[in-house]
Amino acid sequence: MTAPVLEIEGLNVVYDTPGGPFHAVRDVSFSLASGERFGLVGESGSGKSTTILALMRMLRSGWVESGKVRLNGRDLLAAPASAFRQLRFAEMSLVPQGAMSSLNPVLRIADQIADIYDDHGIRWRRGEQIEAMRNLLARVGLPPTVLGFYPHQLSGGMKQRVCIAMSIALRPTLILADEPTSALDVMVQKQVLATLGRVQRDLGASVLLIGHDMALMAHFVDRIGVMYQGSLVEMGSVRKIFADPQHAYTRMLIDSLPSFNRTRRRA
Amino acid sequence: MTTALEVSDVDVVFASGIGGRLRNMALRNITMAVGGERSSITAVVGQSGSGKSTLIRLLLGVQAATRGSVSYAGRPLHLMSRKEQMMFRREVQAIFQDPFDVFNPFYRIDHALLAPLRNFGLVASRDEAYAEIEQTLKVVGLEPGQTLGRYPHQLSGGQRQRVMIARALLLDPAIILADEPVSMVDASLRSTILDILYDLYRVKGISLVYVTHDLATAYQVAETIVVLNGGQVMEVGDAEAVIHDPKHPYTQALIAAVPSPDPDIPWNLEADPAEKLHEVDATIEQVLFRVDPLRAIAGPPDRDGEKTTIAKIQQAVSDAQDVAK
Repeated sequence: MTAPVLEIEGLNVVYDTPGGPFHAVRDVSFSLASGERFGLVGESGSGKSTTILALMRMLRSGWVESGKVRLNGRDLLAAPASAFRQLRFAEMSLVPQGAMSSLNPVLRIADQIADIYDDHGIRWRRGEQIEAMRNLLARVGLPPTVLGFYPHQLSGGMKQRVCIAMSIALRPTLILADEPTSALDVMVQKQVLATLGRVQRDLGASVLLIGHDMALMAHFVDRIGVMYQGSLVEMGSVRKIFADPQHAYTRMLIDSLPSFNRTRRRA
Repeated sequence: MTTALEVSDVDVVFASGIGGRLRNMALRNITMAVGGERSSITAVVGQSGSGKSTLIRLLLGVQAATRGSVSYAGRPLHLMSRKEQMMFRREVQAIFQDPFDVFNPFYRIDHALLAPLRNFGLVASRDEAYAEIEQTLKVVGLEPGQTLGRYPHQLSGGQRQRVMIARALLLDPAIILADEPVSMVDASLRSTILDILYDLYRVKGISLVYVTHDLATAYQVAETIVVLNGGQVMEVGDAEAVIHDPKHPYTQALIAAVPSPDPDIPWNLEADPAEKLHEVDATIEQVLFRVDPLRAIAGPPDRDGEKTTIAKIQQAVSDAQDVAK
């Protein structure tokens, strides 16, 4: 048994609101083993995005009130800002929800990827960097010509795959994916998820996937955690959760899934 | 009186570039009907860029046809008098994808519900208007006391989408056009909203066009499913048959891309979903051929067989349902 990649213990996150502090994440604890795919589900406002924003130190007007977060054994919350900056992309990266708006519209894809390398002080010999970037795009199934494109020249699915390519540029041990396919249609969604799954396996990284589509989760992750009103109300293997959901909200999520075996018409 | 919204042999072409040299066929050879003698519920499914939203805009009369015509109650939309237009605008209602975008954030919810009632002169007094509104909110499962007087940002996405349905209902429509009404709503609320839409059809006899990329929800509510790709119809038929026995490779690929809610049914995530698609080229003109009484699939125009239209298949499915009853 290897040491867990990510350990979260008793995480509490609070937002400042005009009506007083709002407790968005309450006492959340879970851990991810090396190479594991973990899914965090819950409706809008349940605290799932806040949880990973807290991990990435990207909270706005919110703060971690208490709790422990360890990444590869290191205390994340205590890490100074400069160290944390080095750790993003290198140890932990984020595939954001809105690929549409998370790429810089005035930079070519090549420049945006190069930015990651520059920021981490990676030096290249002539021609090496462009070769590395070509390989990176090939991994997510994009042609090398994409490097010269601006984001508006790419479709939604291609942008999302560029984001996946960027997230694995420095071979992190943990990939956080915040509803990476919620803006895509079913066919593109399957391509993007297959891409994420493939690079995750190649790298041996762990994935923390956030979403509210239980059917997607059922086929992608190993374990599921269900968040409701800021708390982690249920956690277990996909099969166990589907076979015997304990919490009423989990049951509703599963029962409300559309299926090719159920229809209103003959109901 | 029953009135039908009919699309006859329509192309929609978007021209761009210098002198309009780049031509993009958003819709090609579309003939379909909504409403009429018997109310119907038709789902239009397809990927992004398949022409789904252009079709809704065409039906709403905000997108002109490049070829062919769209008519309501026998009158072409672009030739309607002001009075006829008012009738069309009242009887054909739309529900859009984004429940956050459609409300003016500076007005209370009441405004979005009162304004159409007033503009169409459907109520004599404020009290009468509020009585109507409260009754309609209950139909869509909202508590009037907790909805009225609030601002849009104080309601959830699901609540706002239900207010939009209520707004459409207030005008006593014959037809509702719904463009991805549940794609931005939480998964747990989707089936509630689809239930409401289905009840409108079953109880009130309102005809629906449900546009979506989600085949599973299309199957849940629709009697006829139309599969659109690159602006052309790939397959159309009885919902049951299209989902459980898809005949066109594009439909098959689309169905294979939907994850099953049962973790034990394999999804073949690693298989390339585009595999089946190389044989489907949406830029080549295709026409519909009837392959069985309730189904048609696309093929090249010079092929032998019985050519048909969406409208004819819709009619056949509708007739078959009458016989079943």
